[in-house]
Formats: sequence, C-alpha cells, structure tokens
Amino acid sequence: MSDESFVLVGTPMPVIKTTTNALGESKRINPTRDLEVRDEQGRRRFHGAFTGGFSAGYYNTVGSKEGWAPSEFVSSRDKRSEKKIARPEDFMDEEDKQMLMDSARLTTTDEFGSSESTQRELEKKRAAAKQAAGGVLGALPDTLIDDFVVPSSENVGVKLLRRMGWKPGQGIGPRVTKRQKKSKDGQLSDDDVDLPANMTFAPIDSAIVVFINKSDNFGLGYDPYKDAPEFDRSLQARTESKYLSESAGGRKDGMGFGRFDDDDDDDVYGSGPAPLRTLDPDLILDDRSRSQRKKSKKKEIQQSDALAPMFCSDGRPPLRGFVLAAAPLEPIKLYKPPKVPRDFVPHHTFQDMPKPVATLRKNEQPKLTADDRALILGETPIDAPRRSVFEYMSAQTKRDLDNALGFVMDTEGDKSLRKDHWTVPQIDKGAAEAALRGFMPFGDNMAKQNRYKQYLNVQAGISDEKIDLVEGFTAEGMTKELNEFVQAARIFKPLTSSMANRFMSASTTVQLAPPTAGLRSAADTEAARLAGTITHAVVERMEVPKSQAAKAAAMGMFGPLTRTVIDFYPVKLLCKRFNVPNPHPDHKDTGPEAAKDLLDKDTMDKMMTNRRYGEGMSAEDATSRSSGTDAPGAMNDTGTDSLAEAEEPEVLEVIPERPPMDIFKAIFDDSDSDSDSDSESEDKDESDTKGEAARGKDTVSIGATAIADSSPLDAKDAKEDSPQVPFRPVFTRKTDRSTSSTTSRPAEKRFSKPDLSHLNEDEDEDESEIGPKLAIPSASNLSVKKKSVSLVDNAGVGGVAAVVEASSPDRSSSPSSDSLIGPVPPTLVAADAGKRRKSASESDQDSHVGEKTGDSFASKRHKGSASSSSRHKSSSSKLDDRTDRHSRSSHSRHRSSSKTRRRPRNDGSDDDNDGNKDGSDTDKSGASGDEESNKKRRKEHSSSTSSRHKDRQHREHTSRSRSKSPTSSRRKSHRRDKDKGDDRERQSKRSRDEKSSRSTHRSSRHRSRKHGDDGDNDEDMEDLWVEKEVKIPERERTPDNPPLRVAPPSNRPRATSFF
Amino acid sequence: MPKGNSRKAAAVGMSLAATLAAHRGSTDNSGSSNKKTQQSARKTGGSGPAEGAGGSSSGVLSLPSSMPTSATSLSTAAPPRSSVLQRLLKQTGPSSSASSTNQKSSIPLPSSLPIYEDQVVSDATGAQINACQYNTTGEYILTGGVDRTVRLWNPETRFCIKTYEAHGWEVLDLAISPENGKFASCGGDKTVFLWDVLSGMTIRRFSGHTQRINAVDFDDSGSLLASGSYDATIRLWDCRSQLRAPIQVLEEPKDSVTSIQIQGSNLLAGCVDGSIRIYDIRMGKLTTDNIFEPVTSVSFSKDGNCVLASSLDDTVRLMDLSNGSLLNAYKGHKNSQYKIRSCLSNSDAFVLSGSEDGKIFIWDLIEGEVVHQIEAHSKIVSSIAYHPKEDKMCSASVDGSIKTWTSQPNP
Repeated sequence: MSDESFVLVGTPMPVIKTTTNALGESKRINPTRDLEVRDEQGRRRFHGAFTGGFSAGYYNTVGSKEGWAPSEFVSSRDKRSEKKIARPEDFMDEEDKQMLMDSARLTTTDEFGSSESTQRELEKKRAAAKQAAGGVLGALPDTLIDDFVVPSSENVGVKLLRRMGWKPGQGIGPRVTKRQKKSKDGQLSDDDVDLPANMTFAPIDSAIVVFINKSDNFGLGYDPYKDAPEFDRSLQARTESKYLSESAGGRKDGMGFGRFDDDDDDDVYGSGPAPLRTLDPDLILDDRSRSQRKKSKKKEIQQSDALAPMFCSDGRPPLRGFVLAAAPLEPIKLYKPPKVPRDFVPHHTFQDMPKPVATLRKNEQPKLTADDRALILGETPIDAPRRSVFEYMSAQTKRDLDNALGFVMDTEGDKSLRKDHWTVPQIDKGAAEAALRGFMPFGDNMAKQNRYKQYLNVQAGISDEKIDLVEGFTAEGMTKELNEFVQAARIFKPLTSSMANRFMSASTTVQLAPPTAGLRSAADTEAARLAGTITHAVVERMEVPKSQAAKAAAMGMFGPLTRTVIDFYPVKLLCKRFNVPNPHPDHKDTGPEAAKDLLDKDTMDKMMTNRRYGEGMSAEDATSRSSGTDAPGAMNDTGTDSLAEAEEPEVLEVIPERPPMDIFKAIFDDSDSDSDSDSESEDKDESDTKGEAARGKDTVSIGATAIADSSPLDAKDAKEDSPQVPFRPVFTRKTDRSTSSTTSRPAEKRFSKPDLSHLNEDEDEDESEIGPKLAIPSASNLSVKKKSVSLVDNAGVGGVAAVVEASSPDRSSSPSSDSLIGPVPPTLVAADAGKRRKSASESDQDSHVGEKTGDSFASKRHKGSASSSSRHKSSSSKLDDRTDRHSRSSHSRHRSSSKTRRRPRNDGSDDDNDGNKDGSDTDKSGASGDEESNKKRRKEHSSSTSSRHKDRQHREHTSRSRSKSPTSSRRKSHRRDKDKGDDRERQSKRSRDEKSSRSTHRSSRHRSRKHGDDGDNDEDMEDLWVEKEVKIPERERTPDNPPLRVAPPSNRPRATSFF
Repeated sequence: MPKGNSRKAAAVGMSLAATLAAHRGSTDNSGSSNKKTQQSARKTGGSGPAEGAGGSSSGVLSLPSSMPTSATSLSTAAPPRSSVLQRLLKQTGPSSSASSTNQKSSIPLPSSLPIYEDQVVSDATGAQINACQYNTTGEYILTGGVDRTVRLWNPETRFCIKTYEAHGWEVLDLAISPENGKFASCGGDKTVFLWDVLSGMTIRRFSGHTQRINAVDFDDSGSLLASGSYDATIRLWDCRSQLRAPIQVLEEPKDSVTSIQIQGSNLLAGCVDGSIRIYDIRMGKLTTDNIFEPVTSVSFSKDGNCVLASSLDDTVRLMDLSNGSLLNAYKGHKNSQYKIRSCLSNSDAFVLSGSEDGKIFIWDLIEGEVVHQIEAHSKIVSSIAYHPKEDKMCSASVDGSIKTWTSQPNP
C-alpha cells in the first residue's frame, strides 16, 4: 500500500552489502597487523606472547581442555579389558582426519559387482592371466590389481555394449548355437537337455589376452630374477606399490579397457627400490622402455616394423627384440700411459722446506745445559744449595784455601747468603730527592723514620754518612728494612712526580726479531722458540698498574694512604634507630624530600647561586661567599671582602693571557663534539652566546648579555667595580637567606670556604671562561653601562641582517638543538653561519614531534621569533636602564628567561612538546652530560619563573604585531594552554630530571665498579688531589701568607684532558 | 663473629663511641655536643640490657638471669684504649720480627684454647653448612646451609631442636637478635628473612636486594638489620616499623659485600673490592681502608678498636680502626677462593680462622704466630664461631659437619 504512493525514478543502486565470510566477519581488508589466523571454529590459532597465554596451550593442543587425558585404569580382575589398539586416527584432530579422508579413497563400495557372474568372471580372468603369463612373473600384479579393482561406474564402451544387448558375463561377438558353444567350452554340458535346438547363446566370455611387448633386451624366456628372488620381490613390491599409489591417488577408472595407455605421469625413475636402481643398467628392466610401452603400444609396433627389414652383417635379420644400431659403435679410445722420467722420485720434497726439527735440536744441543733441559722438560728444580767445587772440600782445606787466597776470592759462598752481611740498596739520586720532599712514612716509629731520612739523604748525596747496622737489628732485618725504604722512596714522592707516573712505562720490553718474509711451518716456530729468538711478550703477565695506595698496601704499609674518610649522611630514621644525633644536621637530603620543595623560593635562589658560582660549590659556600658582599653598605668592613679584593689583581692578570677563542676551538671543538656540549658547565651556554656576540652576530642581545653575564669572572669584575651601583642588588636579594647560615659560622670557616669555592669555581671556569673573556676582551674596567653601549657599537658592525638571524644558529641559543644537532666544526662556525642557521632550524624542526609545518614555515617562524626576542631584549634592557635601581640579577634573569623563552618559540611555540623534547634530550645526551643539562634546564626554569609573566607579555605583544606566519593564531592558543599546564609540566620535568640524574649517578657508580681497582685508585688519586687543594686555604689563614691562587688554570692537571 | 658477644660489644662500642666523641669534642671548640653524645651513649648502654631482658621473656634461647649482670658490669668498665691495642703497641721496634722466630717454640699453649673436640653436632652427611652462630648465651647453635634450612641445635645433646624452612635458596648468613627471640637469615633468595625462634615462622621478609645476600647482622638493640649483598649495596632494614623499603641503601661498595657487622654505632662491611668500610653513624663518616685484596670476613675486636679482616690472599689482617694501619697479619692457612669466617677469641687474645684444607688455625694475636692447628674437618671450614662466654667454639664445614670444641680434653 504504502509502496504504491512512492514514485521510483531510475534504478536503485545495488545495496552495498558487506560480504561476509562463513564466520560472519566482514571481508574488508585489514592491515597486516590485524590479520589473525583462525581455525574453522573461529579460534585463534597463533598467539603472541601476551595474547596467548593460557588459551594458547589450552585450546590448540589436542582439542580438549584436559589436553592428553590419561586413560582410566580399569581393573582387569573381573573384567578383562579389551585390548585397545591405538589407531593413527585417534591422534588426529578434525583437520587431520579430513585430510586423511580426502586422501584415502581406496574404498570398496556396493557398486562393485557382487553378482555371481562378476565374481566368476574375475576368477576366470585370474586363471586366464595365470595361464597366459605363467612362470614366476605369472601373476602379474598389474593385471591382478586391475581385476581386483573394478570400476564403480561403467565407461562408454561398456554402455555401448549394453545397448547392443550385451550383458555382463557374456562374451563379445555374434551369438553362437549350442553346438558351437559346446565345442568351445564344456561348461554348459549339464543343462543341454532342456534347451531347444535353435537357441543361441552368447559367446563365452574369455579373458582378453594381453600381449606384452617385450621391451627388454633379455633373451626369450629369460627371467632375470629367477635366481635372485630378492630382486623379484623388490620388483613386485615396486609394481604393487605403484599401483597402490595410483589407486590411493584417487584413480577410479579401471584398467584393461585401454585407458591404461594414457598414464604418463608414472614416476618410474624416482620411486623404485634402491637396489634395483643401483644395478647395472644392462641388467635391470629398462624402466624407460616400460613407460614407453605404456605410452604408445602402436608406435612401438610401428617402429619394430620399420626396423624389421634391416639385416645384420651376416645377412640374417637381428634377433627378435633386437634392433640394429643406426650408427656403428665408436671404438673406445685408449691412451698410452705417460712416460715416467727416469729421475722421478715418488716422494715430493719442497724446495724451501725447513730442515727437520731433529737436526736443529742436534745443532743447538751443546748450548743447553742440564738445567736448561730440565727447565724445558718441566722438571722441578732440585732444592739444594748451589753446587760449587768448594762444597766438596773438607773444612780444613777450605780454611787453608781461604787463608791463602782470601784476598782474591771468598769461598764461603754467596755474600748475600751470609748472615752478617747486608747491602745498602741503591736508588736514583733524583728519586731519593723526590722522596725526601714527599710524604714521610713510618710516622708511628720515629726512629725508623729517621733512619729512612738518613738513607734518603745518603742516596741523594746530601750526606756522606755510612749506614751502620742499627743495634737490635740483624743483618737480615737491616736488609729487609732498607728494601722497605727503597720501596717507600719509590712510592712516597711529591705529587708532581707522581703525576708523571700516570704515564705507565711498559712493564716488559718486547724484543722481537726482525720479521722475515715467507711462510714457516709449526716445527720452524717451535725451533725458534726453543732457540729463544722470539720473546713471548704476550705470555708474560702484564703488571697491573697499581696506584700508590695499592703499592703501599702491597708493602703492608697501611695507614693514611690506604684510608679514605668521606662524609656519610645517615638518614634521620637511621640515626634514630642507632640513638645518635644526626651527625650532619646541616646536610639537606637530596632525596625525594628535597624534590618536593623544588619550587621553593629558597631552592630557587640556591639554584641560581649554584649556577652563578659553578658546579663544584654547594649552595652554602655560595651563600657564605656572597654574604660578604651582601649589603651595599657593608662592602668594605668584612675580612672576606678584603680577601676577595686582594685576589682580584691575580685574576685580572690571568685574563689577558688567555689565547684567542679560535685556538681553543680548533683544539677542542670537534665536529663530533656531542660530548663537548655535554661536559660543558652551564655557564658555557651563556658564554658561548657571548662569544658569538663578540663576533658581531648578535648585536641587540649583546647589551643584555654583557650585563646579565653571571659567570664567576664577571662576578669578580663586579666586585672590582664596587662603586658601580647596578651590580649590588644581586647580593642584597640573598641577605635573608645568608643571615641564618653565615652569621653563626666561625670566622675561619668563612675564610676557608670561599677559597675552596674559588678553587672549584676555577675548575669550572677553565672551560666556561672562554666565552665571556672574549666577549669582553679589555672592557673589564668599564662600567656596565659603558660596556653595554660599547658592545652594542661593536656588534653594530655585524649589520641588521645579522641581527635577525643571530638567535638561531649558535648552539647555545636553543639548548634543545644542542644535543640534537651536534656542534658544527669550528671552521664552519664563522664562515657558514647562514647555512648553519638553516640546518639548525631544519633539524630543530625535525626534532619536534608535534610539528608538521614545512621548512619555509619554520624558517619564517624562526625569523619572526628571533627578531621578536631580540627586540624584546633590547626593549627590556632599555627599560632596565630607565629603572636604574633594577638589580643585576633581574637583568640576568631577564636575559636567561628570554633565552628560555626563545627556545620554545624556535620550536614553533609548541610548548606542549617541551616535555617530550626534554625527554629525548635526556636520552640522547651522554650519561655525564645529563646532569649538566638537567641542571641547566632546572636553572632556566628557576630563572624563568621570576620574570616569566612580564616576558610573556612582551612576547605576546611582539608576536601579535610582528609574526605574519599563519601559525601565529595557533601559537596563541597553544600558549593559553601552556599557561595552564605550565606548572604541572615543569614539575613533571623536574621529577624526570631527578630521575635521570639519579640514574646517571647509578650508571657512573656501575662504571666505576666495573673498573674495579683501577677506578678505585683513580678515585683515591683524586681524593688526594682534593685534599691537597683543600690544604692551601688553611695556609692562607695566616696573615703573613698572602692569598694566592693555587696555580694558573693551564698548569693545573685537572683542567687538562688527561683525566 | 659470635653473636653472643654483641651485648658486651654493645657496651664496649658505646664506650668507644664516647671516646671518639670525646676526641671530637677536643677538636671541636664546643663542649656541649660532647656531653650530649656521652649522655646518649650511656643511655643506649643502659637501655640495651633492659630491652634484652624484656625480649628474653618471649624468646626461647635466652638466659635472662645472666645477661644483665654481664652487660652492666661491662658497660661500667670502659677502657679508653683497647687492651689489644696496647698490647700490640708495646711490641714496637724492629727486633720483633727477628725475635719472634725464637719465641715460637717458647709460647706455651694456653689452656684456654678450645682445641679439643667436644661434640660432633652434625655428622658429615648433611649438606654444606655456610654459617654457624652461637646464641647470645652460648647454649644453642644456629646453622644455615645449602639445604635451604636453618637448624637450631643443642650442642650438648646433639639434638636438632628446630628446623626453619622457608628459604628457597641456600642460606648464606645468620644473625641472632640480642634478645634471642628472633634471628635473621639471608641467602640466595635476595631476601632477608626475620624469624621468630619460637614459632618457627618468618616475621618479616625484607626484599629489595637485586642479588644474593651475603651477610646480615643486627644492631645492638635488635631493631635494625643490615644486609650486604652481591649487588654491591648495603641495605639497612627497620625491624621495628612495618616499613617495607630499607631505611637507607649504602651504595659506596664497588663490589659484592661479603661481611657485615654492627657494633655500637659503627657498621663494618667487608667488600670484594678490597676495602673495609666503617660507617660511623655517630660521626657521619665513612672510613674506607683499602687492602686491595677481596675481603671475605670482617669483625670488630671486642673492644671495638681493631678490625679483623680475612682476605683472599691467605691472610687475616688486624687493622687499627683509628688510623687504618696494619697491626698484624696472620698467615699460614689457606684462603684464596672461599668465604671463610675468622673471629677473635673472647679475650681478644687469639685469632681463629678456618682454612680451605679443613683445618682451623689459631694465631696469637700479638705474636702473629700460629699457636695451634686443628685438623677439624675433611673439607673447607666455612664458618667458625666463638662461644660468647666460655672458651669454646663451634665450626661448620662444607662437608656438612658441625663440631664444637672445648679447652678441656675430653675424657
């Protein structure tokens, strides 16, 4: 009804129906990873490690939950258990059974004639076949099988015959009368009485005579297997198996009706039993001819016909079955054996074969003594005193001899063996002098120490005393002690000389014979070894390099050298359990408790201080250091200050001596210096920027850089320019913190600590100074304002174009690119700035996952961001100039924060990616570098928090006005998101940093553990170093000792790359 | 070291701490901290026995009557410098080495040496024994071995009182809490098991080590466990709270930690990296004495001023705790592959150690000469423990036998 009210226009599109397979799943193409293999029940067949599990072993084994269920035990006492024969089918699953069914079609069905006639017929056939064939091969298997296996369906010939009136069991041909039949067969003789005379009978069915073509070359009637029944059997088996396999292969059609001719896929070559195939081809039945026979009987007959008229050479035709060869046989060619030369020796000797070992041995035998031979043979040496002629003399004779020849010789054996003799072992004069200057061991036994000193004095040639036998000593003991002295002198040297010992000399001298060309046999080398020409340097165990402490320990001189004492910070609960007060109440945990308070103002400030004063310094040190210069008014009244000022001339002297940056770059800055960026202290960041700034690339940022420079050197500069107002406020900010910790500290600590920090700071400076010093080559005396101005002027040379591009290329500008891009070879630094910028931006972009904009976009954005940031910087610096009471720290914060901001904007303001990126950073940079970079990041964050808000304002303003890129709006939205998640992100990042640094620590520990003793020794050495360095400030405590710098950085071993 | 002496050791350790504190006080200018530490030391010394008595009521092994007396008497007597050290320091001068050879024969065999076989607690049919310990009263012996069980023996009756089964791996070390009510065992499980002696059940299982644990020890109050592991860490576990994580993980060792002992506020650890580490919790200092040979067994002397350390160079060394110098080295035994425990006699007069040839070596502490060798076992003597009170000792071997030794010849 309702259908009629609608008008259908056009033919409706066929319904797109999803084709489904048998399991009801749609057949749309799945990606490869989603494809699953299932069986017909829809169960998964293959399981991954995490998807399979229980069901993998549950469902897919034998199809039951239980798997192989053990058969139940049935007592056979009253019930005989049936003998169960396991069939293969029992162990098959459905699939296997299906396969078996598919393959096994050898089944008798009811279609096979069960009628009497057929059976009779078969019997007859069998008999006939037996008759026809006879002999051993009589019951030819093929016919036999043919008869057994009667086709289930009639072929066309049979059908035709039926149509013509033939019935099964009848013979073929015209019907015969009774008489005719009788003459042929006496079968029907019984019932001929009843039969009418005119009755005709079907002809008697007779077996078809199969004429077997003789295709072999045997004689007639020859049976090759007559006397070899095993061959016969194997042949039989072969044929049988062949037919069996044929029938098993699903061949239903019968044989004997001419269809046999067509099968040419008989595998006649491959499937025969092995013994037959290994026979002489003449002896075996020719398989090939058999197959040929099967293929085409006619052809063969024709062939034989065609060959028949040919006659043999004697005029007679060839024997039946033989064929004359078309071409005469080629006579076998026989070659004469080669003539053996007369002087031929049946044993081959090489021209340059080494002489037999025996002769060599004979030659060198006189060289070996009996002892040598014993050694070679591995005999244990006889533990007996040295043999000497004098041993065999009587005591009286010996005495006489001594009296007579006493001035010439001493018969009483080796001097060293004598009880009352002792020798003074000699050491180098230099060694003795060095030992005198070094550590004096035997501090617990002053007498011994004095003897040691005396010995050294004698050896150094300072005194001419003769070392006498000390009373209470035996000669043996004296020798022992002197040897001890020698060892001690070897060990206890001043550190400078022990530095030289870092370079190991080879423990053994390898003296190799000049190599001779050519091959050598094993006997040869053996001979050479015996002769001792080859020194086996490898065999000798290399002496393990031992540290000083290890040497001392080996000598049994345990004590200060083998002992190290470090601070150990038990946790609160541990102290509680041990019922002891916390030994380090000032020590702050670096554990998870500390991580909580990372955003504290206090922590922030600490981090800021750390950054400013270098890595090796703790926050306390920094605080105490800065405390002296804290209050603007209290500049000159504390002792610390004067000390600091006294230092300054020294520092200033150092600065101009530093060679230009390029030399450093050329030496240290490798193309693959990923590690370079890793090992740098965080100051390097800024200093690098400055270095580039000095080259006039970054004009606008220089002002800010110069002012905001917070490297220790400049801090000193600041102190030097004490009247300069803008520097002061850095320190005022920390007064609240420093008052608590520093005021209560004893004065001496104040003295020592800053010096310590100074040392540490120097360590860091060695690498990081480079930038700042170059940036301010000689302007250290200028005021800050002047400095900024002059530097702006300097940089003005670079031009405006450089201004725009300055921000991105240098490594330091975007810390993220630091580890990702890898630094550029130093030669390229100056020349290919533009190219580098491009590459940097590209790789920068590559590194950020979320970004999808193209190259052009990125570069545009880079430009935009760079210009905006630089603009911001300049404006901020102006602003700061205007607000003249603005602190220097705020300057620096501005600077660093703007830098921090600049980085994300280089990333296309994808601050959301910040976390990811940082993570990747951490992964990529080396283990040691991690901590550095982490600190760097942390610091940046800390700095950024202070003036973030302001900065953002700037940034938004500039980006709104300047950036023309289509992504600006997107960026804004991003920023809004970022504002929300900023803190959270930072927190997470920090925790990550913590983790990574911890892991670094662990890995380093692991490394050192792997190094084992060596690492330990190194550590010890370093500890010694530290101890040494620590001692210096103590000396300074005395007023007459002027404060001194320990050593110029270039000379100090730590600054070099040997460590 | 025999755990039974921890009471005594506690007292002496406290006195040591006090002396150390006094030393620190002299270097520091402030005397207040010194007083405080001394006070606290006294407090610990006093509270120790009280706790022990309280704990003993629950434990099976203790004899509460004897404990407090000995502890108090010892805590009052606190020699500033150890008698061992003084004895050793008397032997100065270069002639000592030369003259010692002559003295060797002249040393009279002291009657106090436990050199006579007392009981064969366990025949050499069982599995390898790794650790044996006397309880604090010396009445019972606790052994642990490769058969993953800890067994409590009565050495007098040779009766195995209890078998503690929970370990899935071999037991490598045992520690008995000072009040005898609990003990700790460790081994290949990477877990420290804290057992209740009476019930035979584990009270706590401290897991956190990543490798097998070689050594375990209680502190003097029994509230803290220290375990040293093959993973090159020492972990300190709190028995008092239900804290699962260790109180602190000491990661300074660079290799497997083989032996641990806590005495007073000092934690002593021997390490395969060749160092003896002394964590002074009171001072907050870690002292590392390197002997550059894998250290297998460390123990404090009873007075807490010396450290006995066995290392794999066939040497037992006696180190001075105060300056790290070598006081004496004891050689003659074989110890180059296995962890073999060494210990000091109760009077600190003799050094005892097993050997890899089945002998027990006894050295004179001062002379450094082998006083006696006992053909104790057929295989490596893995552990040796000195009776906390009497001159007895027990030894356990890799061949599975546990034997006790007395100073009196057995009739």
